[in-house]
Amino acid sequence: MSKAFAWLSFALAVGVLAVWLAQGRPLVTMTERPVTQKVVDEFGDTMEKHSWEPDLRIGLLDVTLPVVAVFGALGTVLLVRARRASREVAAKERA
Amino acid sequence: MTVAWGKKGRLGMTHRFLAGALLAAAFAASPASSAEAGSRKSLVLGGAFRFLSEAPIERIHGTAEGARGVIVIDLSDLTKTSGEISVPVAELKTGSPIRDEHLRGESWLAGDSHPRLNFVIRDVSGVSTKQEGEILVATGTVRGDFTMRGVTKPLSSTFTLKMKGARAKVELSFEVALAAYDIKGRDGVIGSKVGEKIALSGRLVGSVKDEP
Repeated sequence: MSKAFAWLSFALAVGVLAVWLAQGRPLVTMTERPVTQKVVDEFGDTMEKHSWEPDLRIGLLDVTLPVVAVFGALGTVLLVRARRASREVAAKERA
Repeated sequence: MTVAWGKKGRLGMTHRFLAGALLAAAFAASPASSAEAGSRKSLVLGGAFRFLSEAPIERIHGTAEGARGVIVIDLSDLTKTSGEISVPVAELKTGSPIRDEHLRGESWLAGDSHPRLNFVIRDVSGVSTKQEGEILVATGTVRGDFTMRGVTKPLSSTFTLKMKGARAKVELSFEVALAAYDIKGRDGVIGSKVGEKIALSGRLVGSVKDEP
């Protein structure tokens, strides 16, 4: 059981890392992205109009690293416990 | 004319007086002097700035809405321009709420104690003007004092001024070095995640009013 949870923790850590990579590797979590629209102003000039659009992208420092660290550590602890438990069972069987 | 004045004394005096009065009136109403009198305009502007920080680790785009400015210009001599443009620190946006909060914090722009970035125009140079249809276009360099985080330093910027009837547009573009304004950020951030220099460009649009 512990072993299964350990692998699930590792999978979650890898999953969060993959999402961060796929979202363009932002350093901090972004909740909006800049949108540039070309419009002609009252002086006849083509200008870039900037606005912000909701867009959630997880950041390395505030989400990805803490999540990877926590799930990675949890997976390691669970894996060690699972191995220890299986060794104890094997020892009991030998005895 | 002179002969007639000489011949008829009283009438000649009247003519001379009339001619003098007409000449004075003509000077007062001449296009040159009316342009001088009405050449001072005040531009009441509003708009936004964009900023860009380029550092090895990260490239940060941001906007600053709510920019306001009042600029007094003299159309007969644009070097006599004066005025002030300011941007509220609270309106700075980079798309990340955490980063925006840091930006307004004490180690960056100290928005609580210094809520606005200010640019006071001192003088304008290298002005070139041209008429594009009904639009007056002026370009040049504006110099002034830029205040950020309570620190004031001289700053120069290129500008483009466009005027069409009672409407005006001013575009500015300049760079600020964070170290000059005593902005240190957290250790090692400037130069790695945040650029040592920030490029700003602003666009303000508004109305033109006659200045006394």
